[in-house]
Amino acid sequence: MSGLAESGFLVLSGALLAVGLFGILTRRNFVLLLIAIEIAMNAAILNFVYFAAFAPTSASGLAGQSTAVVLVGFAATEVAVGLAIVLALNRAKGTINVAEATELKL
Amino acid sequence: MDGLFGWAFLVPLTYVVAFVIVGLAGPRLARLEWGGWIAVGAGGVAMVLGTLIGVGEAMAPGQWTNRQMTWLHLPPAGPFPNGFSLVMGTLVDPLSALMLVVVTVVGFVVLLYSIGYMHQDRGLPRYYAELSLFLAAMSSLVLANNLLEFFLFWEIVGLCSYFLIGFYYDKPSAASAAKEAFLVTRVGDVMFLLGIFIFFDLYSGANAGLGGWAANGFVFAHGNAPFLSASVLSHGTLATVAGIMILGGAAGKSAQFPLHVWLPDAMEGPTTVSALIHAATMVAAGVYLLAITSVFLGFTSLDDLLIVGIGGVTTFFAATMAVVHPDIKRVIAYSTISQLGYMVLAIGAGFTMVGLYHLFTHAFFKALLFLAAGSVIHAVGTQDLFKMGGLKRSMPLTAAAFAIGGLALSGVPPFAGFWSKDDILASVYSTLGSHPAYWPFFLLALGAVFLTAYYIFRAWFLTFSGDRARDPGAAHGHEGPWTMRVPLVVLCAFAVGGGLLVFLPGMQNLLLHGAGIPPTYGATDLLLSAVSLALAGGGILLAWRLWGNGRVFELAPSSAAQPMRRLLLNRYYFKIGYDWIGAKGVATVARAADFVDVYVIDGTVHGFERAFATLSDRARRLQSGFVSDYAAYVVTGLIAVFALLLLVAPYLLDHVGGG
Repeated sequence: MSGLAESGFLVLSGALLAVGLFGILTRRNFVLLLIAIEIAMNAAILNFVYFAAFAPTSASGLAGQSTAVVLVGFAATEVAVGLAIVLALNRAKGTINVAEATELKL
Repeated sequence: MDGLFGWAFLVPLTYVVAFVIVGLAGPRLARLEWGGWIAVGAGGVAMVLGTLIGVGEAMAPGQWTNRQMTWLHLPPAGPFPNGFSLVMGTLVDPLSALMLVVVTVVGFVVLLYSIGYMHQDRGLPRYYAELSLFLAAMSSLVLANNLLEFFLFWEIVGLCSYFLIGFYYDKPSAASAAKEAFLVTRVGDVMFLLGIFIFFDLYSGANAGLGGWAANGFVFAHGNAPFLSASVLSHGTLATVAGIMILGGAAGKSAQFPLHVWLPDAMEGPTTVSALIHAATMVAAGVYLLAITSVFLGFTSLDDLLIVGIGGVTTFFAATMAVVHPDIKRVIAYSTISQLGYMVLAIGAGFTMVGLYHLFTHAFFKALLFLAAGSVIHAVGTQDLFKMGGLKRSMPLTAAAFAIGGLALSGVPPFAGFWSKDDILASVYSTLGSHPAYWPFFLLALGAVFLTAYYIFRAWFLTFSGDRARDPGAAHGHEGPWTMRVPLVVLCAFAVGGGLLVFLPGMQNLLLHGAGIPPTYGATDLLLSAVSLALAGGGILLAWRLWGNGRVFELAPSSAAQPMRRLLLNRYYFKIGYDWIGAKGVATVARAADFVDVYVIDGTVHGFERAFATLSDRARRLQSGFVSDYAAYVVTGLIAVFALLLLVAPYLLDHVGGG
């Protein structure tokens, strides 16, 4: 694990996460929100890949990489659902401004 | 006779049956005087049973019959190694037999009289039902075989008194009088209950003999003797306090000083109620309690002094108030308080049966006086003595009855009151040597003899003598129906002959329980009788001089006696005093308690209310509906969890890994 701490990949995935988080918290366009979620997810997936590169055994390395691939698939699924929600929202409210969908409250 | 005594519980049961029938079906029994005849029938049956028991007990000297059922039994525990039982039962002994005769006979007589007196009144089923309930409770009280049962029926009797005094409930003065009666006797009842607790404490465990007094249900007797033997009775301070508490209870019920204020106001009830409850029976319950305690439980000598004191003071004090009162019923009410004082005096001096003997004769002639007064009120329509007059021509029977009652009350031989009252005076006099402290109370009692004769004959002269009524507007007198006349005659017979009953051998058995009536009268006794007779005669004479033949004695407005007169008419300002205590003292406490209730307790509750409302309001605003806000919450939570993990990690690693 000699290269783990020295390489800057953690910084990369950390930065990607921060960008994604910022987007989740501030974007009002639903599609841009989905994009931000995707960015944050990809940051996590990157981490899997990165740690798999430094895996002690080839088996655990393979495990890490295959997990990353599966996760990409999950991400795609989730985006599909998210886009379906966008379409439904647009049909219901005529807008994709998230700030106008505030009925989930008491 | 033992078989009969076992059935003693039938007496109260008869009254209960009448109560149930009249209470439920009364409104439909218009032809039976709205249940009145049923009540009278039950009263008659009870009277027969009661007299049989009384006569039986008189003829079986020293036999006490105890019948009981255990209604609660607890297994041995704590201070009761043999378990603890509570019982309900009847005890027929000379005391209870004597009282039973009084209750059932006067009860029957009053019930019969009510048929005529209360005819055409409203709410009659309620009246007869309540009277029957009262008689049931009173006879049960008299027959009670243990102190707890006694207290239970004592309370029920007080409740019935409340109902009956407030019979005319839409009259504010009546409702108020009923409340007053209940509250004042309540003060006494609380003291009585405390007395029971103290006796329980005194006589439990090793002190009680025969396995424990309380464990046996607080019974009075075992076999033919008191349960608590004399050697067991303690004489310490606690015993004195217990006696004082019992005295308090008796003073409340029997309207002795200083709890006498309710009885005159109780005259708001129908006259028949006054005759039964406030002359012959309920107020006698207090005296009976003192008798029971002195025989079965025990008074210390300090208690005796207090009892003598209260009795003597009340006798005189009540008589003074009767002297000026213009209302015929209230004069008789004060007379009752005064005579009860005599009985209390006798019991305190150690002569329980002499006191009860006076209770026996007094019940009859006091009921007679009340019923005669009722006859007058029924005819004339007013209770004000100064509106009456000249009725002896139109109501000869009533006039004679009232006169006989008055003579009996004054203690003129051969009427009943002479024998019993002089017995009290003689007995108390005989103790003066060993108890010089009793002197002032004896003199008060003696003075009351004079006042008694005066006030009762003042009433008689104002009502019956003269040519015509003082108030021309008063209705003319006429005798009542036979249902009112027969009771008068019966009671006259008792007032005349009641004293002579003592010479029957059976009665001596009944009455010679404990300190008895001296079978022969000595010279001092005769002298004393002569003195009291002179006092009585003097009182009657003075009444005749002032009020006879239609004269009206007016006290000059500038007379020195006027302030005294006002004092007496205002009943020594006792009621005003008690009202003031209530208004200032009790009301202040009540206001303080109310403040605490509204501001402190309710304030706390409202405070919680407000706190939760504010909290929930703030919390609700977290749910803004904005997705970005929710996302922010998720992120915040996530960060918090990670931070926690970082903090806890070293400890986790210690447990999981090898260090």
